[in-house]
Amino acid sequence: MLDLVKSVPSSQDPIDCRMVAHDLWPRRFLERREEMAVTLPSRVFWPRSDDEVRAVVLAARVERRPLVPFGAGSGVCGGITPGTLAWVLDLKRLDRILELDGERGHVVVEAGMIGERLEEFLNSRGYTLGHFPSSIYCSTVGGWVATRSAGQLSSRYGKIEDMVLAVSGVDGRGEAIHAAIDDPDTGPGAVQLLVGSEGALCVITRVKLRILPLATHRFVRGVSFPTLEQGLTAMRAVLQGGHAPAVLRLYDPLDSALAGATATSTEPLRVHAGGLARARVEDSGPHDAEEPTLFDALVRRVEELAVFSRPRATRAVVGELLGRPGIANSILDRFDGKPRLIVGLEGDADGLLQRGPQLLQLLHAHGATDLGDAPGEKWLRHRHRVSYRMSKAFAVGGWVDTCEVACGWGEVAPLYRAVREALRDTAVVLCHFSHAYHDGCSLYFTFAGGGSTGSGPRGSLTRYDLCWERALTTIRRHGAVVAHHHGVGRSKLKGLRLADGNRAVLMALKRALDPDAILNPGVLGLPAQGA
Amino acid sequence: MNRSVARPRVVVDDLAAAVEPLRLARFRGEALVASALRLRAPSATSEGAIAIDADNGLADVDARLSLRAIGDALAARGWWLPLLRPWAAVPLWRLVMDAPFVVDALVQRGVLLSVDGDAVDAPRAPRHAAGPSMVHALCGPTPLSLVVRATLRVVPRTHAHLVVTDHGSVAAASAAFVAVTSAARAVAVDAFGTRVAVLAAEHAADAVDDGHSLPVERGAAWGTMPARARASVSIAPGDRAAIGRALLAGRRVVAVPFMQRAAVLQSRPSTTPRLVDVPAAAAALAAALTENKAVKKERP
Repeated sequence: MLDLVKSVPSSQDPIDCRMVAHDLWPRRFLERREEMAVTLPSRVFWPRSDDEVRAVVLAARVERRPLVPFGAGSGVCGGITPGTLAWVLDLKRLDRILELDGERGHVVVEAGMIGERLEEFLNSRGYTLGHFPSSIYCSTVGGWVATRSAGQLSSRYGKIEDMVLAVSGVDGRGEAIHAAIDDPDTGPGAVQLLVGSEGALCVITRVKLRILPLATHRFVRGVSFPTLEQGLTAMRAVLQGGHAPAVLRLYDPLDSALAGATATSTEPLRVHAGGLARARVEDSGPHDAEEPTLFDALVRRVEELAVFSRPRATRAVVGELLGRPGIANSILDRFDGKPRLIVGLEGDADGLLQRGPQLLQLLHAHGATDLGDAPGEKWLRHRHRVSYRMSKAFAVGGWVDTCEVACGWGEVAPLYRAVREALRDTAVVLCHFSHAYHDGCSLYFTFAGGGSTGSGPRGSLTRYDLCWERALTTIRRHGAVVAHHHGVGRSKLKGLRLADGNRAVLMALKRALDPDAILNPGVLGLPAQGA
Repeated sequence: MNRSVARPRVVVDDLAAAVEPLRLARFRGEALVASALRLRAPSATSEGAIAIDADNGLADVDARLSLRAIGDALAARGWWLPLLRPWAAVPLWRLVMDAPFVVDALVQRGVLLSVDGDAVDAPRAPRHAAGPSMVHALCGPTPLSLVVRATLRVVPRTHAHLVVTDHGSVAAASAAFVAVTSAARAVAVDAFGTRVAVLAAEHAADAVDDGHSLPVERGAAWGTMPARARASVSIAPGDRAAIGRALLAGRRVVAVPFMQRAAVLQSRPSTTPRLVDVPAAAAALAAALTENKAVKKERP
């Protein structure tokens, strides 16, 4: 097996190693802007089979090399941070679909498969996984499972951990391992102990996922609420009332204002052909006007103030404003939007014509104003775009990051207000509530700030770290969990306080599955090699 | 090699008190099987045994209680467990080891102890993404932790009602079961023979009606229900063939559509869990992950 490692494609070329040196953690971009050196791993491997993965793991164990599994590198929490001695296991050549069984409702796929390609394959055969993270074009199945990813239709289809029927991989001993929900020797407990392990317990090489037939019709609509609290109460009522919407996303007043004004609608409910999964690609053409970002809103506001006539000057001012978030927040406070909810159902046309009005009636009972189909269909067209449009803020010296947490319904509104308040002089904060359950939901914060170059108190990196520290402190004080679907990585490690028992259980699993602690050292608070 | 001790030999008030005897047993080189541990259960109506959080649809329960006791006490207060009865009178802390479906379906979080007696934090928030799921460390032949109090999902009786239909054949019942589970709107689905019971909001219950099924009176529906379940083997929720086979064999097949989980219920577990220390339990799990049939099949 050790000889096999010589035939595994690999490279020590600095360019190849640079490509896998980190994920999309925004802090890394700030470091690059500060011209801090990139730490390159020692070598990158591109295994083509489980056996080749085993060979690399065994070789890493012999050489006592840290080994970092790498999917598509779209993580945003610093989960991929190889040191100079580390080897990186880039899994993108493990991209085969091994089995599709529509009768039994599952697909078996290798871990390096890009999500969009898997969904396209399933769609072409009349199925869907129902998993649509905004990173679907640049994230892998293995990455989803390793971080407990969630997609935009999670209220209907669940999170990735709900879809996983079995996980195969290679542990730190170089042993092939397999856990399946229907295996009495391991059981679903073992599956759920490997899911979310962020590459620290095993290298996930293949996954069996449950699939569902594509829905034939959809209805997606926008409504607004007088207050955020009313919107949250309505969301809870929808979930607890068993309506199982495919989409249920509430945007806070600022985020709602950015979407622009929409008139009240009296149009009757319309059901569109094609489920939400099908609507993903074909309706998302480049002809659509772009949804404004926070950056665009600040530009617009500065332009409205008519202080500067030149776009470049305006952008420079916006960059400056991001470094003075107190002032930026005062400007943005003038955007007074009504919290907007996007709600959507999937199913057959007759069923939707029956369920849709019932759902809208429930929302109206909680104070909703109907905005018609337009906001919903617009969201549908733009739903994968925002993640790719953060660079504008970086280009003017600012930064943007996101933080997704989860808590029970009672804590949602207080936590939202507390985080906004805690960050008021550090960052501009937006929030939406997009993954809801009967007992609580996720809060997805986007914060943007700026600062000068250098390491002083006004430096971007200092401000960025301060922002995270304040956010994590507030999140923990309110009893929320620090991660809902991005994983923990390094950005949230400080917020991950493990009880003694958790640590003992995790450490025991780590020692049993990765006795030399070579797999992705440093995540989940687990010890690094030699510790 | 540890000797297994099957006789009931440790009787304690709560799990925290069980830790010392467990350590002592290990010191003697014995591995206690879970059935050797007896906990004195409180009354389900005693103060603090069950606390309902109506806003979040949750009930915080003492894990020494059985599902049957919990279900009865909740029903008296106007709530339903999203699992249909009957269940064996096995305490919850013990049931979760053999019936992982109970964890999937019910346990949202809890107060847990590692097998060595350390507190384990199972998050208060729903569907967290901070590492491996600690509530799932409760399940299996060598569990890593024990549940002291569990936060269970519950449903107000006013929000859900029971519809039972007879589909005439096992194949049709399997198809109806899969359809209702896939729709993800019902609270619970339970199939036996040719019958399917759905607990759902009024607007969601019609999903079980395939146009050929006949409604069944509740009492009559479960008159032929077999043994009280005390173990489960999970299955893929869309696997019609596996569901059909289980129904033909006279088993109950259950699902919680909101979690996309399904299982075949059993009247007795295939093995009795052993309570060993955390490192030994982790080592046993690692061995099971390596030695299972799927891995052996692929091994050259």
